[in-house]
Amino acid sequence: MARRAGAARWPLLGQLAGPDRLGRGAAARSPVSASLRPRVASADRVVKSICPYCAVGCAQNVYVKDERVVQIEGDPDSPVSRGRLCPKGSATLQLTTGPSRRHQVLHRRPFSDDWETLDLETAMDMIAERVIQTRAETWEERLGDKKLNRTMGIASLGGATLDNEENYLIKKLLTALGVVQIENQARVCHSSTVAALGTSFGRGGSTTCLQDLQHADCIVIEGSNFAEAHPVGFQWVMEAKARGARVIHVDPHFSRTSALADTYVPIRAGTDIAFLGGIINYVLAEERYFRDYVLAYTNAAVVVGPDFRDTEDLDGLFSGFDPESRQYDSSSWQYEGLELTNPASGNEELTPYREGGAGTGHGESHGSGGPALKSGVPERDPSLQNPRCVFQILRRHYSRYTPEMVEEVCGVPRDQFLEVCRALVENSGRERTSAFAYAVGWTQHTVGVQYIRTASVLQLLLGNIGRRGGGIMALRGHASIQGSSDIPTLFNLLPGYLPMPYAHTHERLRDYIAAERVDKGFWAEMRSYMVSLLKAYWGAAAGEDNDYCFDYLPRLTGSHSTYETVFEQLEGRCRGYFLLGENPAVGSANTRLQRFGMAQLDWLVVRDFSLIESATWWQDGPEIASGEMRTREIKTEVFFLPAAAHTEKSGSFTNTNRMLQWHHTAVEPQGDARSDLWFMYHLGRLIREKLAGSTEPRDRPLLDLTWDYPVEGPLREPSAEAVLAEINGFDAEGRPLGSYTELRDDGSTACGCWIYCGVYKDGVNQAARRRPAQEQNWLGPEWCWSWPANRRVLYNRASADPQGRPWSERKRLVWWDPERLSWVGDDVPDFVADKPPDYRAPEGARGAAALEGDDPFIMQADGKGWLFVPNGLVDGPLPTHYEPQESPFQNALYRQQSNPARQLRPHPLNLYQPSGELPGSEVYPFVATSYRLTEHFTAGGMTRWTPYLTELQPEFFCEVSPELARERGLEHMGWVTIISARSAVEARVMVTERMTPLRVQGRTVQQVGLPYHWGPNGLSRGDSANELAPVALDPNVHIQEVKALAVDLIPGRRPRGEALRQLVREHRRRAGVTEATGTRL
Amino acid sequence: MSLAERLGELLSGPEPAVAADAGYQDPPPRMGFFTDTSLCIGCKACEVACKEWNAIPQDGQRLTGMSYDNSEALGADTWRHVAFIEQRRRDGRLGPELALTPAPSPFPVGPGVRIRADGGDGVLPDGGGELRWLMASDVCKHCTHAACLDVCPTGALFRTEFGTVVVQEDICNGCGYCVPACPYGVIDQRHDDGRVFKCTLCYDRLGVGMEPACAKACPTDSIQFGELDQLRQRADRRLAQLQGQGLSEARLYGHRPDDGVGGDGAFFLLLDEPQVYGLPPDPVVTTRDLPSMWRHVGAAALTLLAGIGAAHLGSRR
Amino acid sequence: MASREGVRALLRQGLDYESAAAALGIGAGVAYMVATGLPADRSDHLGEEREGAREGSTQLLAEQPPGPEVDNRETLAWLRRRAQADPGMRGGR
Repeated sequence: MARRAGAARWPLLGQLAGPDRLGRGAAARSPVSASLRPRVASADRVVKSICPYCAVGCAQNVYVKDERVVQIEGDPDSPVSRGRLCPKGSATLQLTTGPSRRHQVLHRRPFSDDWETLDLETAMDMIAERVIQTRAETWEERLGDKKLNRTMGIASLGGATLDNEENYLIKKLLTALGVVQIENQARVCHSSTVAALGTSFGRGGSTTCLQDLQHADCIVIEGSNFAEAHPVGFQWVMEAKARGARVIHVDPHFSRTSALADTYVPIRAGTDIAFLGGIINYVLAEERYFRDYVLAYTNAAVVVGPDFRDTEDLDGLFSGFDPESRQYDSSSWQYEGLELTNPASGNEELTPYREGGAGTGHGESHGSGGPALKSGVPERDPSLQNPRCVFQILRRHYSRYTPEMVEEVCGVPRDQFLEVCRALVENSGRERTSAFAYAVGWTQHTVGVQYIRTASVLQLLLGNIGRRGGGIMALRGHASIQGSSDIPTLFNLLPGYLPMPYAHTHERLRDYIAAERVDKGFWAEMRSYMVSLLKAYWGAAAGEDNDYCFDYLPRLTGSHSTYETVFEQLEGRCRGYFLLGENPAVGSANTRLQRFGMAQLDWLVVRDFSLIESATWWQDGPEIASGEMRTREIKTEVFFLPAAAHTEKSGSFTNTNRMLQWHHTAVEPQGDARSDLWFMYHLGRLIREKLAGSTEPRDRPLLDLTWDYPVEGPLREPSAEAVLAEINGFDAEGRPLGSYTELRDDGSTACGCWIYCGVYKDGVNQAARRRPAQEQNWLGPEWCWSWPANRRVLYNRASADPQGRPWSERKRLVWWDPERLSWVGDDVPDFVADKPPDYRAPEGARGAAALEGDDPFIMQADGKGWLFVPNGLVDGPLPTHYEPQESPFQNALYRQQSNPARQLRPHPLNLYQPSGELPGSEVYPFVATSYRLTEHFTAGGMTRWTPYLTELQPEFFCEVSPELARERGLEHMGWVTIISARSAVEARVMVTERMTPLRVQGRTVQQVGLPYHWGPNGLSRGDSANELAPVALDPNVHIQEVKALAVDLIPGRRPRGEALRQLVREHRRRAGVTEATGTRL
Repeated sequence: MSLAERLGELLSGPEPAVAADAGYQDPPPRMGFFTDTSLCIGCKACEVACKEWNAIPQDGQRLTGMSYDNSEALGADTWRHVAFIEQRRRDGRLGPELALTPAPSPFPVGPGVRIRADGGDGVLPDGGGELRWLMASDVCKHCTHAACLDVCPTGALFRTEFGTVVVQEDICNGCGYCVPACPYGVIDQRHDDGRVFKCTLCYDRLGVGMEPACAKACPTDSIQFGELDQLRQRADRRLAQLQGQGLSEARLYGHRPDDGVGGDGAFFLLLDEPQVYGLPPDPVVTTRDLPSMWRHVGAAALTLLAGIGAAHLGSRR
Repeated sequence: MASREGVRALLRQGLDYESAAAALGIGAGVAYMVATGLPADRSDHLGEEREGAREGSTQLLAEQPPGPEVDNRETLAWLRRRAQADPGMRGGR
């Protein structure tokens, strides 16, 4: 853009003398325009980062000028995102630098009606004092003769948007303090995934990566709004479409995903097991399963013991159900031929789970390592004819899931259902593969785990797992929610899916190992993983003589999930609470319950960007508005600590494909904003200083903890890379380890999370590698680092036949090279690299050596994909259609209405509605489902304060069909009040054809769509949809059912004040709701 | 080419060398947008990325009821606008209107009727058709013959070396002549400012070889940035592909150099008629008629003179 | 400003984009865009052949400022100190 010279700089002369006589181009260009330079080019530095919103993990370039971030845009080098960003990722600049962020600590004294400012140092000191005091007052040394070593007085929630390093310190410090109620968004989001995929395949995460979707011949998106919740990930579905793939979207509402699908199938919310079970039935009846794959790679041929009874025999129950405790004894589900171990230890694996009450979920400990099997060789029938073999059990179990039944139950017309079946079978087998993509539309149910299990069974039958373009894509939702499950900040897990010990059984380390480990596969090395973790936590204090400080771990006595914690708060036992980037007053089920719980606390610490609803409920929450609570009577002391953004700290996020991606600090946080790494580290330092010299035995775990991370700069920020190095693990010389196979059980290695071992291999931060996608193959193996061992498509051994040859050239991924005597291909083999396909394990082999050459599911006890899960899930070995907890319909398949093992907590604040044929269910006649819009993010903390996003979706609205609008007198853009037994909310009305009335069991049912992002705070305000939902949980993982509710609609705005409660009570009265309603088996 | 023809070419019809005609020596190839709306997922990343890059203020926060479109239209504070049309197709025609109570809107809000499984021919048992949700990201067209540019009295609007049309904020005096001139209703004045603002095709980014913010962000590559000639070829191939798949209503919009504005620097692939998307079916640059207007003025002037002359002659008797 | 032919002429003489751009007095990124029609920071992947298009990442052509230095020596030293403070690791059992 050269400047003109001399007289020609006078515009008119220049115009007439030069080539631009009409003066519309070069002559009209001003000097300013001629010297324009984009601010990215004049920035001081560009810092590599990762988007903090969803779990696609789009790479970002952060441009800094004069120590301020001036631009954030996509990094084209990423093999996952290719430089693109969705509207939220594009708004990251405004999120992190806009005026909505707070930078000052606020303090609310007990009974005060307003905030006061407080300096950070004083706040930290006060919080440390609160922790010490509450812990001392609520310490539990023993229960009977069993050690507990814990406090139930403190809980923590949050972590899915935090770095792995932050989650690691949260778990480490709080565990050493004896806190067991440590939870995060993963509980309420994808905990079902861990148990379902873990028990089916051996690892509880997405089986494939986003880029692999481009190779699918058919993609079924169900229980997911892929294009809206993961827009940049959706580009890979579009790639598949461009190559001719068929895309099918099954969902109660027609969303932006449906708009791009080839086929949209409307379905009644809560009936996906019937739908998928129908497809299973079709596949079996039409003999369209991939027989060679099923025989070689699944447990189809295994014979189950003679005492097993299926739901077909017991009208909806499996054998072994105890109606008193509402739990199953799974002994009758076991394989035939496995020895019963001696009675003393035989069923003891199950006892803690019985003692702890219904559904003390052990399923999540299969996040990396499937359930144990008793020793011995199971009986098998390779002809698949034995009536007690898994295959025949499966056939019989789904025999009534006919197309007619699917139409009855799901409201999906028979022809449309068969179209989906045909699409899947025509696109599976040797030459073609199909993929499933799902999200919380499947996980958030009282049968959430079983939903995903149904897809797992189907994909195993079709031979799609471990194949190019196949698999099951679990679309997780938060930037590092996979990490906050791996590390984890979850009550029942230690890093790497090691289970937290229970008071009853796990007395000593050897008891713990005996109860948990398996003989075959990599989980056999469990002791090495556990000892190395204990060395990472307690360093020099941990030795062979004291069981490596195994006793320092607090013990569980049941479920201590976030929902149990709320009841602990209500009952005054849990007195202190940390909220670390999570907003349960909007995001958890039964938000009223959450707020009433918090109102019983002694103290609450909220760390976030803005004053979210969970920080201000005491001042202006719905219960203040209704008069049920009065601010001056609420004793909860509240601290609000402003949090640093991802641009202001370094750390790693783990995305939905198990990939760890590092983001670097671009600028220092301003004011009193600090990272959660800083907060946890200094909180720990302060507490240790205050308790130094203590002789109390309970303080030893805290004082012996290794807590010496280097700190940098004027803010004394701990080094996230050092934390990563500890997570990775090191040997006795301090050398970073390269793989979990180097871990030892003799105390010579330390490792904070065995599945992450290798992320700091050779002292190089593998998660920070950013070799451009354009320089690698489509998997981009040198971009960042995935667990396990940088494999991108799991179980890829199954992409080759038992002899090691690809099933087809077209779909080859990994295969055996007989010349090089190793497995080769596009991906790192998910297998011992030099184990030949014909390897047979010698008698008595243990560990990895016990896995044979055709065992692709290397984390499973028998190396096979499990169609039938004999162990590890508490509500059945096979998925079964049950109606949601609250449903206008009776279960058409069985007498058993809902999941018999589901977890309920009836309480005056958590009343259930009558369902099905019970009188009163007609008071709540409409099916409601909650979902997301692309413009907002979860509970709104990161979008409702961001103007560029709030102007795109400014208000809470609900979507109804024109028929429903006519039926209830609703007007487009008018108001409607939505009522359940818990509460009532108001929303603007969006009348749209995209909501379809369905014909179910002889009558028409209307569905109501509820985007759930809103709360009363921020720039975009509205009622929270989760006010309506009850706490009704899946028993394996304690996840709430918010995807299928029953509601009533009334035109107009909702009443205010006491009148609101009266409205809710009146509906309850008409429906006959009591504390006993809905709690029957 | 005669002077008259040359002048004509500068005002309407095909103009292959737009940048050279605007006085640039050895200009780079003409750059532009091809927006393939068949790939749009309606996410509005384009709207946000544009606002972030150009520091555009928020444009009002109101729920419009126009499906998921709360941005309503292009304007001074919305330079990328995603339209949403819910419709039911049957044999390529719009289905019956549904009596909604709409918010005031310049666009036809699409109707639709119940979804049911059809017999494969798109027609449902009750005569209805499959539901369709059209989504499209609209933008300034950077016309070959840009009316806004032609009528601008101050030279604030100018043609860049890339063939794009840009408003220079340091020149614009807020007279507003360009606002009614634009056949698409794109350019508009900012309320508390007075000057006009519109898409610049990220002129500053082009200057260092970077693509516009919206094109970079677009998750599905609905917005494609590149050399206009290459984009036109790509669009032709894409259209043929879609029509081959049975999407007979798919069409290109604004791609033809002989249309009323000489073809657009930002053109589109639509899945229905332009009016469905709120786009004018036959936009014409104001100055197309300029030569004819001046000829008529000239003829009128001569007629007037002749009349005066005749009256004068007549009055002299 | 440069035309496509102007840039390509220099490329044919064996110059790379950075040198060709310097010779023309323009940035390397815009030289790349002018020559190929592709932006240096492109996020699309429409798989077309373009004369002069570079394999691999091109975003650095577009006048990107440098990133900060990263150094792992402190972390490795800290790890060694951690291990040294724990003689039990070396003694094994």
